[in-house]
Amino acid sequence: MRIRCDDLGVSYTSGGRNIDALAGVTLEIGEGEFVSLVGPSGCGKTSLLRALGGFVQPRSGTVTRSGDTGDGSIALVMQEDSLFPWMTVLENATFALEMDGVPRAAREDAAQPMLRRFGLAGRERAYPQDLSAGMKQRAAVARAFLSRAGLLLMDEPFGALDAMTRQMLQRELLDEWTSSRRTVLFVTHDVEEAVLLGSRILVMTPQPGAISAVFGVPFAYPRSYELTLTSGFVRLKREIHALLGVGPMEARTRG
Amino acid sequence: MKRLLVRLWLPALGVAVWELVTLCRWLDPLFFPSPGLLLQTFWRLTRNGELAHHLGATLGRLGVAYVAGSAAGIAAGLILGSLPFWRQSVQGVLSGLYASPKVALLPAFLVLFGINDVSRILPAAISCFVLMTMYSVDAARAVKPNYVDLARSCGAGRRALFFRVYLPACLPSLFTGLRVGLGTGLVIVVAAEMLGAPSGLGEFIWITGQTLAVDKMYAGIAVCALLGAGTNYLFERLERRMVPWVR
Repeated sequence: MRIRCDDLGVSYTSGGRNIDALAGVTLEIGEGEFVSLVGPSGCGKTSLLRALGGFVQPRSGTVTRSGDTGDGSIALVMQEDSLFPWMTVLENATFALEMDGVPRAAREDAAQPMLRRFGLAGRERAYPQDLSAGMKQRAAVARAFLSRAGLLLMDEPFGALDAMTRQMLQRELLDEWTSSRRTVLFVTHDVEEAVLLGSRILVMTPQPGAISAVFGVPFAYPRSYELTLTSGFVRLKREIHALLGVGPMEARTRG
Repeated sequence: MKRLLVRLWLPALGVAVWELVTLCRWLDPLFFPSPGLLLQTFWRLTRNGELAHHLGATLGRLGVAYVAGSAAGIAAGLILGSLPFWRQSVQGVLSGLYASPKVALLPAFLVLFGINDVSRILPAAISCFVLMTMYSVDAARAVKPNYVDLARSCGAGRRALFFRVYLPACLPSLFTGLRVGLGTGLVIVVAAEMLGAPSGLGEFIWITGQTLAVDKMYAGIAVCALLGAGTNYLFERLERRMVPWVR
């Protein structure tokens, strides 16, 4: 799926005041591209993602989604509440397929290998409340992968996970993207994660949220975690950090 | 077994103390018959079908009032939950009805509809309706927008949104409301029956009390208590089945 937005503005009211979450955002994400969106918390990342997904009505500007990969639906993974508490792991993971009209038996056949890969075998009938945070997120990612959506919108999906689960899911995400070539927009506040995963990085600055810089990531796929130790990776990371205003603090601690 | 013991020891102790107090004649047995006598009376009235007759009449009225009132309330509440204009328009009336003691309306119903089953059923039905409307509106409004976005992103249409998201998300609150509503409904039906009904637990308790057949009166009260406890137990079982994700 391709997404374009022109001069996008999103605002919401809070305590009777009108707050501009986004202003003048213009961007384009190509078919099958993996774009990371980084920025400090509260900079409007989630607003942008929700506007691009069509979940909020923009105050100004336009959003167009086009393209022929997938069924036109969107797979959404959020940081929390990504699973319906009233559905079992299996029902949650196969919900997108169910909405697509795939028969139950076929849905479950498709889900079994995925759930096994994600360490959820044997927990198919469990409800989300009985799962650890890591398992919940793995089930949510499984649903996104199982769906036929042409676009994956991920809003800090690994933000609350332990380092090991996060690395495992990052690897799975890259594998999945490499094989399916669906368009991915990945929101994170972790610069390292953004660089490790994305082929392009959008840097956002707050109040009102706007794209302040775009970086191409020059590293070829498949990527492994080793990449984070190379000097090119660290240089790019430092450049983005400086832009986000993390630089001066580093200087202070050094001096 | 252990749970049963935990639930029963306190009532059992109460009965034992009561027996002791009446045995020692600390209380007038005319007004406080011993549990032994009550048990005999209870058994006799159960055997001759008198209690069953009145219980049946009460259950019939309660059933109609409860099912119709609650179902209409749930439907109205869930619909109002998605219509802010109408919700705000009826909010005042609903809160007023919710807060007012419905038994206070019984005389008005008797005047309006006469001494018949309509005026015994309608007040309870209205109570259940108002209660379930309040519970369902709140439940529908508390559904996290995240879940709605998520379902829509998966391609859920209006039907799927209602049956797979809104309804299950509201179900735990609806069950709480249904449980409260059953208790409220029983109170109002029994109270209404005291005002000149030909049958029913309320009528039975009222008449036996007025004629100083105190043991019979207590037997009637005991049936009400058992009815309340029994339906509550059934509700717990049903809730565990229907809302397995909440514990």
